Amino acid sequence: MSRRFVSLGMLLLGFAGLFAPGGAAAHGPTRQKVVESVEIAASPQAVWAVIGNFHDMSWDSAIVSTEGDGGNTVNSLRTLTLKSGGQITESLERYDPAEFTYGTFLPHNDPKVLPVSNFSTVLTVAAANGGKSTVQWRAAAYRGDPNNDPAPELNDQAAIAAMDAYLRAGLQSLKQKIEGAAH
Amino acid sequence: MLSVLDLTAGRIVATITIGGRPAGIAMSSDGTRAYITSPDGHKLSVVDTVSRTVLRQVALPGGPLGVAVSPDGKRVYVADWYGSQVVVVDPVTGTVLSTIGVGHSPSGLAVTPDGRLLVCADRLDNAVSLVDLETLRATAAIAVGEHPFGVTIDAAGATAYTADVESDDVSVIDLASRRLLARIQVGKRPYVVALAGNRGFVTNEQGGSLTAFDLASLHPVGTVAVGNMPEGIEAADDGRTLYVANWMDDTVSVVDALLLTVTATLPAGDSPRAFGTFLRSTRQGSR
Repeated sequence: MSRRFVSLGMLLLGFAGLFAPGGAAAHGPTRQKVVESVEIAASPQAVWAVIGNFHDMSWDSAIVSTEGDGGNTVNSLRTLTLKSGGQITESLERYDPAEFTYGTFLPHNDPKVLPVSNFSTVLTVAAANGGKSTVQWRAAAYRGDPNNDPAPELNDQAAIAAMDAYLRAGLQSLKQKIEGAAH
Repeated sequence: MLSVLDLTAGRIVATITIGGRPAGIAMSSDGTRAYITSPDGHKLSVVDTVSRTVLRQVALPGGPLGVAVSPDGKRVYVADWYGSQVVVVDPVTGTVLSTIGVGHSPSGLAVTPDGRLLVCADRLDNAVSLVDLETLRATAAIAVGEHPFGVTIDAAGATAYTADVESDDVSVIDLASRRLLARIQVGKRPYVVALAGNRGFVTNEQGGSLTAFDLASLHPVGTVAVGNMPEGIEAADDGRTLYVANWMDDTVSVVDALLLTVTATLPAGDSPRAFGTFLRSTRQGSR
């Protein structure tokens, strides 16, 4: 019998050059990834009942409204109006209610609305001890300005900060909504 | 970081510091060496897989990404993403032996089992370069789909497959006649092809899935939902099991190539890429 080992090359943040739009052939940006999670005192089923509709982002106080009528089917679109201003239109890439997860993709957006490009997210609920849940929100994107020497407000750090703030605020909003605003 | 994942135990058993955002990996045919590229760190790391140590790191120009090793283990080929070249490295002395001009933004590399031919995905040219490894010169370029990334050659050394990220297809190349045989429509943003039994499999990075295709008919035969943003994929020696690195989920999906099912999901390290060959077989009781 043979034991097999997998050696995996791992990256914290991704490697340079996968995304090279137009003439930016010499260099390319690195895809950044942020992962945030929160524990919520409710079962995964109860949490999913709140977040499991792609067209309902009312649990996230940073989202003013959600428009779209494609249902929870892959390639459905939703347009989110952000409290911070502007809109983004995301597609549903993956929907798996049995696993309490769905994934989104944002192919085009005004970098002034969110300083990112090719923004992907994965929202998942998992069981935690004591009948609770861990909600994990992952996001990956390239910076808002894909060219070399980007403006500071559109560089990698800005993309990471914006994604992190977006995820954290949304998860906190969800926790408060489910557990009550008394916290 | 390089993680060693014991596939029997189903968990990470060691981590090895590499630095410079490691992305590409090539395993020597005897399994004793792993060659890791760090595009940001501008280097190639030579890893002893038995002692799990980094033996040496070789400074390389530009953006070293795709990597392949000769069957005899004496030469390591590294694609320089920015320099339109493949760098030839002696992994024992750590010296650069030669550079080979190829097309633009060279990405994935693969070497035929007889060690005589290297296939290089020239991403921005939408082509592959065929490199004669005796003369160390590119002797042909073959047009494929858009933005070929991973390249895989079959065990017979007869056919090469590219995953074409921007055209959502897999290009199939006959190496003897140097012809494009077919382009197979697959899922969204295909990255890397693996071959298992009489099927090929490609990771659809945006689709979060694998597309399976029949190697005789070159038609798709099914899909398998894996993790989010799957990238590296390789088939085990059994010709039946596939391992997929899911970059977004930090997991490895274990897939039955015949039944087209995920049989396990294993924890991996942070943002695993595994771009290249990353499986290693050992005998029971040995490392």
